[in-house]
Amino acid sequence: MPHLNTERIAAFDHASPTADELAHLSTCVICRAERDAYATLARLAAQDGYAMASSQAPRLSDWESLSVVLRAEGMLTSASDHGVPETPLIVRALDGSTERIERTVKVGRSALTPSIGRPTAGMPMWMRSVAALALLAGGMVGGRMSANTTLNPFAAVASATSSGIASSTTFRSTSLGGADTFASVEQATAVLSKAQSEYERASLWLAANDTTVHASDVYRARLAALDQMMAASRAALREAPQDPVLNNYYLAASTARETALQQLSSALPVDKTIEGY
Amino acid sequence: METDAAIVRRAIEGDERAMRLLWNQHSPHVDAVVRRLAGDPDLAQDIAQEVWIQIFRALPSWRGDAKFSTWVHRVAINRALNALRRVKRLAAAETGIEEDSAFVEQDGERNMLAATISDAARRLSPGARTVFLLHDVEGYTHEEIANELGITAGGSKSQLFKARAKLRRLLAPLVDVPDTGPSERSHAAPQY
Repeated sequence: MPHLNTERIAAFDHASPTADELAHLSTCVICRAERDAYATLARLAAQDGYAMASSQAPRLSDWESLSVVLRAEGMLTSASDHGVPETPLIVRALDGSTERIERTVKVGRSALTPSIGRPTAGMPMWMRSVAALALLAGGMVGGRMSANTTLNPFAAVASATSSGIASSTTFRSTSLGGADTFASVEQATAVLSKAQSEYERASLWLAANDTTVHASDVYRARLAALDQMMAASRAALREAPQDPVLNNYYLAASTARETALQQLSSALPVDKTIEGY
Repeated sequence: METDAAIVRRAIEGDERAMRLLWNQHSPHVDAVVRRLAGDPDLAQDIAQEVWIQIFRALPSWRGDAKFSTWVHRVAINRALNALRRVKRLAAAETGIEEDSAFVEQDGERNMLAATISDAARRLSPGARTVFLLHDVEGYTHEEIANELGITAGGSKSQLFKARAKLRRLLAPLVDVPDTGPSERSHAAPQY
């Protein structure tokens, strides 16, 4: 009898050897060794799970990033959490003197920019998609804020980006509640990812290139309005934490606020840095 | 000491300390699952957070009839597979799951023997690796694997035996019986 097939030996734990195979195994040292090798492999595989779980490998996730997302989803709602600590509104000059502004706001890192340099690094696909969906609301925020200004590139780009998406993907305002615009989840996700990427790119460009003169008052007013929007969104999310539309508004306001903070920072005199507003 | 059930109940209610406690206790194990299934460190890092979000989302479905760690393990596998599917890394595996050529490496493998199961498994095709890990490491049945991956139980078996044969060659120094003389056998499976 020829040697047993390798894959046949690998399957002995699924189908016991036949009488002929057993007879061959009793006389063939090579096939017996193969059988023993597969038994050893099976034992190593079973042990491997425990070995990996007990290893000291660095963690793949960190609580800070995870908790931001959990808050945005409404799953993390304990009293101490609502994101970010209350911070007094202080502008500090480089000479050390400070100017305290009466009101307080929550100042924190946007949930949509968890890492420096690569804003979406580590951000799950669903959140990137949500951020992209937030573009609409972000555009509304920008448009609202631009009502009393002569130059508002934020609103202009948000609007332009929305228009671009509309023209390239047949996205229509009337299709917000319809499921027939996209052929598949993958297609819709791809469109959302592209839109989110464009939105982030435009926001970052605006933050770096906004040349609005004497704009700090505009940005302060915008930030105050955005704070109200975020507070209203948070209050709504407490009532309906899983509601995707409310989550989108919250995230959109959060993103717009982050951008406005950057713009305010660049609008301040060079000898002042923003710690709050 | 607070029971798992009590901690989970608080976590479901949105208590940060409880959620963080669960993450602290179970993330080494969840990370191991994600690392194994992803087979690529960068990919593992990309999906780990998503897996945890899914675990927290699924907390209300834990009924306490299994140990919480067992439940987390199972959910982590399921969600990691979903995440991998979403990033298309399993697409090739699922379309080519019935194919004979299930391996990434074809030539020169004897010169690149692996030191551990994990190293060797990374050299398998995504589909073969997933089936091997689920069956031989995680203890899934072929029916469960078929259900998870959307393949047939027969396809799962076929992939498993091919994966084992490949791993047996890659891991020859680990699995060969040492007292057999080199004149009778080599580190590679006999070629018939």
